[in-house]
Amino acid sequence: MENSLLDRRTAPGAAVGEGVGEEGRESIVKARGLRKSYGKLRALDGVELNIATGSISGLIGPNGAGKTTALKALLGLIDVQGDLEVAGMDPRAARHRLMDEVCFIADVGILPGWMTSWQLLDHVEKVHFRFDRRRAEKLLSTTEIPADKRIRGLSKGMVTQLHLSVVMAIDASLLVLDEPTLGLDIMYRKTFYDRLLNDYYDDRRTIVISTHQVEEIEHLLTHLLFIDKGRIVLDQSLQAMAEHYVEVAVDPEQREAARRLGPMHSRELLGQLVCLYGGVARQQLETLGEVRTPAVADLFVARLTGEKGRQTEGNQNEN
Amino acid sequence: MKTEMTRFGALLQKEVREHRNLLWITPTVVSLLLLLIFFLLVLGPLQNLGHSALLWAGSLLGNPPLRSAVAVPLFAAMPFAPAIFLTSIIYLTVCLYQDRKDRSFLFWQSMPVSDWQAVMARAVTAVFVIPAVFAPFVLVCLLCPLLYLAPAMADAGTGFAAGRALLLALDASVLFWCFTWLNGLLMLPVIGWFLLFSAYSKRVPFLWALGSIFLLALLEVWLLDSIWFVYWMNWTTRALVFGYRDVPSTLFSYDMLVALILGGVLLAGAAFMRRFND
Repeated sequence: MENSLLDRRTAPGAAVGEGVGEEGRESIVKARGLRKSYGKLRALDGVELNIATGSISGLIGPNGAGKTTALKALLGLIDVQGDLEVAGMDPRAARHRLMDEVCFIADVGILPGWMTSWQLLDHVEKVHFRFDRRRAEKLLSTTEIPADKRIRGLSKGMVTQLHLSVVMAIDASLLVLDEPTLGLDIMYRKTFYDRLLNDYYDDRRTIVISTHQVEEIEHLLTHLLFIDKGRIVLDQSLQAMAEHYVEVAVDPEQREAARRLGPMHSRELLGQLVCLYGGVARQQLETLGEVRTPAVADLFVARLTGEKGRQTEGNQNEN
Repeated sequence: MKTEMTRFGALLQKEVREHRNLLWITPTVVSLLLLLIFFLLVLGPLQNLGHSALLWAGSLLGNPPLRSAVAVPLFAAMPFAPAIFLTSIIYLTVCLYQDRKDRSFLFWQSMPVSDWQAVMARAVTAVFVIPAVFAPFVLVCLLCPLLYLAPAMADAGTGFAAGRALLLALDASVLFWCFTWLNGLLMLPVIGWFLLFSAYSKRVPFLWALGSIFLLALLEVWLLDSIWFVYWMNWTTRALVFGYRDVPSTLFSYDMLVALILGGVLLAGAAFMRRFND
């Protein structure tokens, strides 16, 4: 499983075009000009999205950037303006039909506390025609969740495990995760993503994850979506990102040369200048110091604060 | 084989499980109260008076044809009608609101169930399921005194009095359920109204639903200088909670047509509110 994921992450030609996602795959999510306002606040301001079938996309943004609103729009939970198609349907017109194809886990425990896990399986089995009860029971048997205990009596980690087991037993083509591991300890967080990759993900399924804990999901992602102030500011495959952005730990004698090349973002790390460049030839940068692919978190900070960073740096130079 | 009926049945089962305390405690309390009153009458300090009354009731039940005699147990079952009404109102007030309050709303929305189906499941629960939950309690509460009265009925000349008591209890229970369901359908606008506010209110849905009724009444007095709305509400509620009516003619009446149309509009409003109240 992880090999195929790795292959796909390093596959060439990750262009994103109209209606077609990475590697020429069909898009399961197509959004054009999505807008949503809450009073004077513009939660979504012309969001454009194209998520390829079989990809694992990370929707990353600061608090209040519009992540949850965007995900709610994809799920048909809120009304938005603009063109939107998810799994060939308009979520605004056919939310309940869409839910045959789409599953989601929200940022907080949303399972009904009054139910026992067994009652939950009973209910989902009767309501969701693509739910495989035996698979859910098998998945639950690997956990310590008691079948007859009410959900409100379970720990947050157990509730998340239960929800994941239910979702993984549904034969859906799109899984949307909104901060799924928020508030969980490190053991549960690791188990969560391991199970997701090993027991759920395959080429037919698409996963969209929104999270603040970028480092945790970085190794899973095939595609990056940065959102800020209701707009998508970066929409790129990991492969394209690795080709386009380069981070350099600049040698002390090359600091001025590094600054002249106009980095998107720069920072001091243990006395060493670290610069992040976009669209600059790797060979040219290799003369400045140690070259590496930036971490997603660093790229995220650079994209959102790059302009401010450059201004600060300019001021320091003047001083 | 899973069908839409399986899905709808699961939604009804979910409602009964979720509101089990309300749905079981209310009929239990009413039944215990009624049985207590009965036992006080026959065994307590008023037993002489109670005994005479029971003998009189026994003669009423024993002699006339079953169809006429059933009016007595039907009358005795009347306290269950306002209990069902109150239970339904409390249920309707909290059912949609509770989902949002405990955030399970997002989980229910992640299931392939339309907002219309979700709202209809609540309406069907109020009209049919709650009376069905009350049904065994009504039967027991009628059966106990009727069996106790069997000797008095036998004294009044009834052959096989215990069997007649059982028949009367069953007949009265079935008729009571029919009236309750019929009244529930006629109350569809009230059901839709409370569901609308349950789906809409951010807090205290009961006060919102009741307050808006008062507001409408006040507006009518203020703007039109009339009290037609208050009069209509008073008449409807009393007639629907306490009224026994002819089933076939009510089922196919204009009152029923108006109730179904108005109720349908309000239920559609509740579904719309559930969908877009974010």
